[in-house]
Amino acid sequence: MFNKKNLKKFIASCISIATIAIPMSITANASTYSRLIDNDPTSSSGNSSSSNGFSYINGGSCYNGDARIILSGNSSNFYHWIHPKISLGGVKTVTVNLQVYLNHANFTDPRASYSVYKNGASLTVGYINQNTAAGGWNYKYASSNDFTGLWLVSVSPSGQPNCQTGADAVNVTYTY
Amino acid sequence: MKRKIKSILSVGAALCFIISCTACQTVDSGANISEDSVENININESAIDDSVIDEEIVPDEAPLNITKDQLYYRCMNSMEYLSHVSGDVKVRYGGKDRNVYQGTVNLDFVNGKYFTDASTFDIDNLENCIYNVVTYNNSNICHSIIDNIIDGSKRHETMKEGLCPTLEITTFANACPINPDDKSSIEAARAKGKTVITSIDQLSEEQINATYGGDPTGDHVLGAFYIPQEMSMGYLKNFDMWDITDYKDFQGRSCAVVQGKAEPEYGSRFNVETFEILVDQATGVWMQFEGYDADGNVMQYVYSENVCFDDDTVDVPTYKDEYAEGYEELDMNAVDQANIDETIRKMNAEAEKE
Repeated sequence: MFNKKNLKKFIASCISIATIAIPMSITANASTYSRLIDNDPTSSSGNSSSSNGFSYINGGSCYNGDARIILSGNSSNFYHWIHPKISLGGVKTVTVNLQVYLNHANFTDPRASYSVYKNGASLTVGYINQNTAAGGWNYKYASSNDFTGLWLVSVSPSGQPNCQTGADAVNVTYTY
Repeated sequence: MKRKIKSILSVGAALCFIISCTACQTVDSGANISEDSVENININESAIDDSVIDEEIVPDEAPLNITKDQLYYRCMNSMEYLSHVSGDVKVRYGGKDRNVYQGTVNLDFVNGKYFTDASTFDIDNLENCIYNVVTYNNSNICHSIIDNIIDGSKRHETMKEGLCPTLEITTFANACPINPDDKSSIEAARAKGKTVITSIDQLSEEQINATYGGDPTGDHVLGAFYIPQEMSMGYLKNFDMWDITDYKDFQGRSCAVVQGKAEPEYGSRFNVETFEILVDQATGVWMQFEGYDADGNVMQYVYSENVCFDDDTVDVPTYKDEYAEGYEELDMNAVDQANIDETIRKMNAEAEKE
């Protein structure tokens, strides 16, 4: 049964969602840093990578034709995408816009976990079902108020059996 | 003893759901306002001069059924609309994922408390669970109690601080298409000087994908039910491939019936050519999904039952230390730092070589 309280709440929610507001965290003094990092980046790109156990694969549908992959059964495994360090000169609030490129049929992990390193601890940005993710770029967002530096993006497997976790390209944008 | 506790919890939770969900009502759906709901809205008919009508007076009536633009946005941003939802879910993602996932969710997005009990079965042997994860997340610490039946391992993984997933509001404030025939909402927005959005085309791809950050529950394996972002993008991004063919009640919820054809590049991964989705109009939750091959066989599915929303849900189960007795403790924050340290060592070693 729909009552007056719920009706008012519904109308209020319709009004609130019918608007666009200026993004609240971007100010005149905000800085942004964007970096696209493919798996196995060349040294000339200024990027690098690190992992434990991810194997190299070729695939025409992958970003630049290749990627890395691992059985999803061990959630302690990792793949790190590394870019040149950005020192924030103190503790700052950072918003992370992470785009993840996924386009291989063998990427089947239903809960691949993505995080960024705040330079002291990591921040979970989000989970992606790599099996059902649309081919191409997938978006995740997060923010935290205790970043001191920016340099690393990570993916870890879910731990699920019968699945494989892929690592291809990421495009990360920090706003601080 | 641990399995007995879990069994009691599962049975107890199931009983609670059954008892509460027999009284599940359509709450906050927004689309099922009955005539009784207008009782407190007064129209002063004596003030209406039929000979001079400057404005059209629109009496309160049931909200319009959602448009395709609204539906797609809600499926992509269900976090923006969900308060509390619980239910039993069964999912087969298909393709090269040979698993079937089945379990129970009880997710309170308002208070940031989440419980999932997800079991994994091999598609060729649906009688035997091969993996089970029970997750308790209070947005400060996330506990995952894991039974790997295949290798016999039993782990209690914890994630704290930044690793513990939480509900994050993105940099984009609420921006959502509204029904262009919803005059009152449009007028109210314009009266406030706000930009009215009636089409997905007026939003950037990032805005559509905002989804208040990632899945805050800590599970995501059963996410096709409550945060169907990946499959929404896969099946619904091209509006020319699907339509809302009907609106109907399902488990007490007003749902849009979506029928469509899969883009070959996406659907071929799962041997899906056509699909049908029952989408909860209020939240974007996929109450049911079936993807069919050329012969009409179900190749991919999301099924739910005993679903409750908001006031009809029971409290989210909370973690107790006794649940992890006999399980190997694994501090995932420490694991993550060890991985970072390993990467730093490799980087330093490379730098020394140069």
